[in-house]
Amino acid sequence: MRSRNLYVTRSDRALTLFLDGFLWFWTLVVAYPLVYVLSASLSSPQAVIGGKVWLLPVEPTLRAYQAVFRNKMILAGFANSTLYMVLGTAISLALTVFAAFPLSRRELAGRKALNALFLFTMIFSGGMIPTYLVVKDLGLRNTVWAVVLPSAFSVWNMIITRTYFQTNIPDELYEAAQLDGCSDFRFLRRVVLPLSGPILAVIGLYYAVGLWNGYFNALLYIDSQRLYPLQLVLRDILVLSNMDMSMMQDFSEMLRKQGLASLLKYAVIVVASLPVMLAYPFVQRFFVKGVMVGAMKG
Amino acid sequence: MTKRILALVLALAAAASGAFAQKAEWLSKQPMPVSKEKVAFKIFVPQRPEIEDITRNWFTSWYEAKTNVHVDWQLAPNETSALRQKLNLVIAAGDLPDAFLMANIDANLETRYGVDEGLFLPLNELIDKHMPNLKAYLAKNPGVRGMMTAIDGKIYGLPNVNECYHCGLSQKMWINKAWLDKLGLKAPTTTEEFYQVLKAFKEKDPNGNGKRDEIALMGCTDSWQSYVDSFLMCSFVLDTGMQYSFGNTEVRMYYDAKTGKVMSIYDRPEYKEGLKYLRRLYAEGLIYSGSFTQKQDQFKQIIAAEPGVVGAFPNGASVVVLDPVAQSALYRQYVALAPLKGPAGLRQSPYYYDGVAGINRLVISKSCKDPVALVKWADAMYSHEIQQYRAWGELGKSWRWAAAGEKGLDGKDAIWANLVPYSADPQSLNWQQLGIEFQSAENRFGQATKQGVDLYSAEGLETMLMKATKELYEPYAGKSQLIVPKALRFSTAEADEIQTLLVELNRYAVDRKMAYVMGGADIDKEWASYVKKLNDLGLQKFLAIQQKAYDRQFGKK
Amino acid sequence: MSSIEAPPRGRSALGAAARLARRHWQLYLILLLPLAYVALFNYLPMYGAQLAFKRFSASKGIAGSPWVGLRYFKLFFASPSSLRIILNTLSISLYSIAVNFLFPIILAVALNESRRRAFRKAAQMITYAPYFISTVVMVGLILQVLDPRLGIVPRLVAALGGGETNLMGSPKAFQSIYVWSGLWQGIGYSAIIYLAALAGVSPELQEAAIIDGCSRGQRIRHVDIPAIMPTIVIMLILSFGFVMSVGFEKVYLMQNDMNLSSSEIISTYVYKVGLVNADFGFATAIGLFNSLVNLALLVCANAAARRAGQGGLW
Repeated sequence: MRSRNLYVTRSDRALTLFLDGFLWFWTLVVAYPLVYVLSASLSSPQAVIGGKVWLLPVEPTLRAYQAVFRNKMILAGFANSTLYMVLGTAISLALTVFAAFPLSRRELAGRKALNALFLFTMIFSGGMIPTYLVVKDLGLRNTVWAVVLPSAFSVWNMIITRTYFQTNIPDELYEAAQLDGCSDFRFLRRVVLPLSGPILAVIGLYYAVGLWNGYFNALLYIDSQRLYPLQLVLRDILVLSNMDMSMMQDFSEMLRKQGLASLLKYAVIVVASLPVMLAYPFVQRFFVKGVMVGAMKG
Repeated sequence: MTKRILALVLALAAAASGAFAQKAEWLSKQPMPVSKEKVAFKIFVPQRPEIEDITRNWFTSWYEAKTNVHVDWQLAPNETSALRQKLNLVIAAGDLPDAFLMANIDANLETRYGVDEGLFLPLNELIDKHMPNLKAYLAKNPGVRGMMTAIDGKIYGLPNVNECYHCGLSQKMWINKAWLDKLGLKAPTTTEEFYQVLKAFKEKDPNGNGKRDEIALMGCTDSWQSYVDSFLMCSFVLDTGMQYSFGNTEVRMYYDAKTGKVMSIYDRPEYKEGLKYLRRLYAEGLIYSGSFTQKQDQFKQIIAAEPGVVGAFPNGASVVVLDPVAQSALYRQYVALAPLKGPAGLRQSPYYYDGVAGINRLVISKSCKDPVALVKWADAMYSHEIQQYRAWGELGKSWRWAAAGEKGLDGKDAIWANLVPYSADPQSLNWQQLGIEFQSAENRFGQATKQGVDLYSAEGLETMLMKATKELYEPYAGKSQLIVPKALRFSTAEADEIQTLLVELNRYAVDRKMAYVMGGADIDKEWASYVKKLNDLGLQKFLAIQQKAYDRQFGKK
Repeated sequence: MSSIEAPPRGRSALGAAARLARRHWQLYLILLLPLAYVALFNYLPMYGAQLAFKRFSASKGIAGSPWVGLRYFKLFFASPSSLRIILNTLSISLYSIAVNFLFPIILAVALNESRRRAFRKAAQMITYAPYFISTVVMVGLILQVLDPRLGIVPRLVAALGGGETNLMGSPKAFQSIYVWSGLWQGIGYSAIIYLAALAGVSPELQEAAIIDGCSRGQRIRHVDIPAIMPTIVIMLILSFGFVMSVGFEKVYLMQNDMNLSSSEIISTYVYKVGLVNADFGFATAIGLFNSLVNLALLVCANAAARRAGQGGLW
């Protein structure tokens, strides 16, 4: 008994060492470039271009942040993106749960066919032109809906949610509820949703992040600057490599653009990722709430 | 009488302040407003980051009041591939606006949507009848009409005029004059001398820090004419370089004036010699290994290191990678180097004569209800007057007409003077590069400039580039080997045929080039099989199509 | 156990299904909204797939465009490099799946096992952050880190006596750079789903395991891993449904003259060929080919999972 304990401790220690080492390694590997980005955003553009920044800010200045907050396009984009994120996440979550719950129930006759129906859309698509025509014919072009609707539903997320429902909501619970005369509506609202905090938080986060980082729908369907999301604004500022140099009007023009890009480059990364970063701790809170179900299963 | 005197005094005062020094030829010949009733057009346009909001811009409202034309802007992204995506989709879905402005409609799209599908409006008659300013410009520049004309003989797009003199000879090399002086060397004139100079740079510690950290020659992949090989290759065979490059999908070609043939450089024996020269430089560590992979961002950081570590670099202008104000000392070290004479006596610089006019800046779709008003609206922009208002803003506030005695960049009488300092923030005063530009050479050189300016200051930039181009590059502007113009028109069938050839040929040629230069393969041993493989991949077929298109458009009829 | 038995064969099966459907009509009602959504936004546009066999004409529309048969497929497969392009795509994709599948799980377990709350929270936030760096900036960072003069990695190599190395110029290194930078960017984000699943494991279960004398490793193996196994399997199967669809932007931005032999993949090739002519037919045809391969791989992965007794997607 004693020797076994000793053995266990030793292997435990090795494992702990490995896992902690892994954690420290990744945290540091990831942290360094992030610190660099942060420092670069707080340094003078000259110092960054000159390669003088490697860890801490050089010639510290808030100029970049001032420029970001003076830029009305960025601010408007920020507001628009927030709206798209909130609205879009709500719609997407609803669609996902409404699909995942029935498909997780074995009582749903024709479940296989219905599942296949959804899966098929994950693999095959009609392409951009007909999708564009659908959006146009629905009268969604150049509206908020054109940004949030065309990719509101992800089969991938639905399947993850469905799997969670299948494994974490015990069949016994469903059967008991059925015997009590509980309707499917009621069961979804009163049992499934309260027990699915973690998965809803994760899927919601995935949708929110997708909407926040996304620009493609806006690129295709939005025609006025008023509705531009942040990422589209940033792309136009940051993508300089496609500048056609042979068409250069004059150098002051080019220098101005390069200056703007190098000044804003790092500050906008910080500003643009802040809201989604701050959302994360709130999401984490939901991770502990699913505990009860596991206990029941065990 | 008193009235007359008063008028005279006022006029004199005005002339003294320069406000009324404009000449009739600078003004637009287009009668305003272009329409009695207010007309509105929907125009597709990329969103420009330097303009805060196109709908609330000074020039937008000023021009609307002047022309009586209202524009509903359909914004597209500015970045090339995204712009192309949206353009294609809008057209594919039959969702046509009245016009496309700056939509990057190249010769291929013009053929497809204009010639084949009839979605664009032919403008030949409209130009002759309703566009006096553009007509005057075309009369003065007879070559431009040929560039504008589609494969069916019609004109579907209006040009963008940007007569940038030094851009016509943009394949420049910049060499560290301070290092040359320190080592007692003269500017090299031949490829052999250049090799010796680079060797000295590498070995003799010209930056004097006691370390062998010098990079003799460095380039990058995404800047202007910054590929490390093209300038040097021109001493062997004409390499047009990065000028037109869309990523790496451009087969390097030239037009041989003696034989009238379109040639690819890839299978020329002269190209082989050029590659061997590059191999020699690389093998001796004279070319920085990152040159073929790094981007402008990294380039700037390396060149900015103290003390300076870079001996020579190719670029359209040194200012692209060095800041004349913040890095003044370093910026002054680099001077332009004339093309080098190759072993066979070839000394040349590609002359990009087609860069003057960009094609299809404004394209009108067939669904436009009132094309006459729209072309009139566009025509006024082909005048110095509207160019000034468009690119700079309000007269007297952002710019003024030049006063008597003020001189331009070329030392001749100036046309106008700038009144606003630059700022990096997006602004609402003018359209800058948006719309149709009319940057004629006259207008560019006509900007009032301090004479006798320090060439290596920020103010002296344009003068320096002009001088360098005139003295060092123009004498060697390619005469026997010419560029193949960008605006070469292909029929749809031809375009279909070359589309895969282009990608395949280029990928293979570039891959081998790198192997020969880096030493991954022996060029002497492989050459015959390399040329054979190029032909197997369809090089001759590709060239035949290019030749046909060239002869059709520019050949003697 | 379950309220329904395995359905009998024949007519009575239909009858049983109908009875079941009647009793659970609410499930169908709930499903109606997502069904309407996919009908409208996914199935309605499917007619566009015919463009794979047509030469698209903007003035005639999709239906009116002339048929060209298998022209685009022939064009693609006749090109001398199509095989290499497909192989490049497959290898970069499978490599990516292997790495991006395994490491987020380890990270999630490590985070879950970490006892120091503050560090754990910080580590979670930090590893999640890079996901918000846009591709353009990300590629800029990669070039920076790998630059022969400026970069940390080549400087470390040089310090270890390796001489000047240009990793971006090595066709062999390209796929590794792509994959591991992808892991760097996505590890924290991908770990979230496993963290959520691990959060569902009850402390009682853990305690019971401890009382039973389980070591930490045994607990991870017998409690934690089984708890997240369904998620792991689903994620793995799903990723096989996207093998051919390697994103275009990052690869394209990372391409240069020196690595083209291994960095040309289907999406960049389609971009280069299609860009010249705005050729929707070509893009649609290759897209269709990709989908078919993806479907085959997905079916195989699913079958393999079932055979291993791990359930599946359907």
